[in-house]
Amino acid sequence: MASMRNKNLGAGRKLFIALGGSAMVLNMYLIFIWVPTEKNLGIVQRIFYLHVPTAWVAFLAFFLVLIGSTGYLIKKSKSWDRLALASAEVGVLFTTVLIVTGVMWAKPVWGVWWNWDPRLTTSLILWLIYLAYLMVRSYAPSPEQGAKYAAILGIVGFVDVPIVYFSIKWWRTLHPQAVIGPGSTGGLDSSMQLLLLVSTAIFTILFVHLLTTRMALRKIEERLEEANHIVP
Amino acid sequence: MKRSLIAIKTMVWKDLLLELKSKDVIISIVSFALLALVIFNFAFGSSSQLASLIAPGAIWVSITFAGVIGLNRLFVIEHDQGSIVGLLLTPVSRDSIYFGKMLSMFVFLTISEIILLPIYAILFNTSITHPIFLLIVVLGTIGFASLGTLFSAMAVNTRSREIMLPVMFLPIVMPILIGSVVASANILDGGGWSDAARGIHIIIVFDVLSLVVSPLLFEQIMQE
Amino acid sequence: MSRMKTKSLIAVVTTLLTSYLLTIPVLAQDGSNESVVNTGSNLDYLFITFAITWIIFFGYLYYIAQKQKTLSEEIDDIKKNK
Repeated sequence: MASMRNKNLGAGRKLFIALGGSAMVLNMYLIFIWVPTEKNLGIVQRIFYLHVPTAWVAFLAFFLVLIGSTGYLIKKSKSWDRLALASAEVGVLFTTVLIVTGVMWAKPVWGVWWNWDPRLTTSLILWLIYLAYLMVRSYAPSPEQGAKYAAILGIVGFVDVPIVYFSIKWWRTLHPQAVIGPGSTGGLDSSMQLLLLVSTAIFTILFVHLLTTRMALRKIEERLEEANHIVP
Repeated sequence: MKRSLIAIKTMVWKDLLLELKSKDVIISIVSFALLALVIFNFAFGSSSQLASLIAPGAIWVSITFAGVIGLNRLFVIEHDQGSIVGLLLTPVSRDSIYFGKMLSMFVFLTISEIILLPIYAILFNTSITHPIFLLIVVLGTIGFASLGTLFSAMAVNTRSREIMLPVMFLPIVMPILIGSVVASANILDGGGWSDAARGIHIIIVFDVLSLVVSPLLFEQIMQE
Repeated sequence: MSRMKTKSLIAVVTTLLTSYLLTIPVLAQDGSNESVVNTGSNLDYLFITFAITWIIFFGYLYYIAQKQKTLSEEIDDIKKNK
């Protein structure tokens, strides 16, 4: 990864950032100008195109944590652990955005910042689970044990993801039902549906950028850990 | 198979004998649970209507927090005295160590609950003898003990283990807790099997999941 | 790296300004509806939400860039001292 040392990004990465950045600008145009205003909720409904893609990307992130954790426990190779850690960190980031956008949408529409709705509660629990994932690495006696314990958390913690997704089906909730995806009730205007999918794709691109960047940083951290072990 | 059962029985017996002498774990659990309950009563005021509303939640939250106190002590002796190495050197499978510890925790919790539940019945004016409620308590305790053993084994090796255990364990035990509270609320309100079935279903699913997955992951922890 | 910092700062400020400016014509479109929600102050919620979101994402990228810089320097130091 000599390119990281040179503080210059490779050409491929620059192109990726340029394309991704433009896609983001396009996304903003679509969200603010192109898509029609929702009839009942007004302009604040546009947070929807931030809130839902963030949720799906967060689920994807934690799924990758599951994969990385399982891979690490089986193969014990650092690259799996790297995937798990980076994905967990970016996943916590996206979950934070999820909760913030949800709260900011709730206040004008429901009148309250928070109610202990099953969806909200289980999402908060999700955030706490992966926060614990990140914490346990610092509190473990050695980096290898930290990685192992984190992997266990990464596997067990994923059980909350389907709970969050299906919480609106299983319990009585104020949170809107799913309008798209498995178990959905439909009812979304076609242009809104399209924008939702486009936004999700674009946020996934952002996720990939954050994930790979974090993984590269992790590689440097690992090298430092090794160096510190050799040079006491 | 027989050797595993003997090993498990020996481990549980050892923990029980140690506990009989010091009565450490059970006293911690019971006293902390009662303290938590008193605090609940202060926090929510003392109308009898409110008491029946908060009873199931208060009961399960106090058992949960007190149980965490108990879990903190589960592997402490083995860790501090280094006897975990001795345990691992014996020709006993890691699974047996897990189930032995899990059963010990289950027994400690059950004994504590036997002491606590009549006190709850008095403090909250609810009847606790409903068989379905007792079933919920047993199922919830199984899930708690099985997940808790896994996390306790991890936490005992970390620094600030008293903090890391609840931080890791509590978010993950939430489904069992939620299921137990919901089912208990329905039963204590005078519901029947069909009302509680949903919650019990959740608890059973998570119990089975954790009993299957925890031993596997426990083996990973023991590979040191 | 300070060029990187300046670039990111400009990017953030531009994004925030643009988002805010873009919502004004949207508000104009909204006139015909009889909404229960107060459309005036909802613009604030909309803006702040997007602002916080971009701050979180750009902040994270900035944090990673900083860490990359300090860690690379540390490794170079160790290599030099060996």
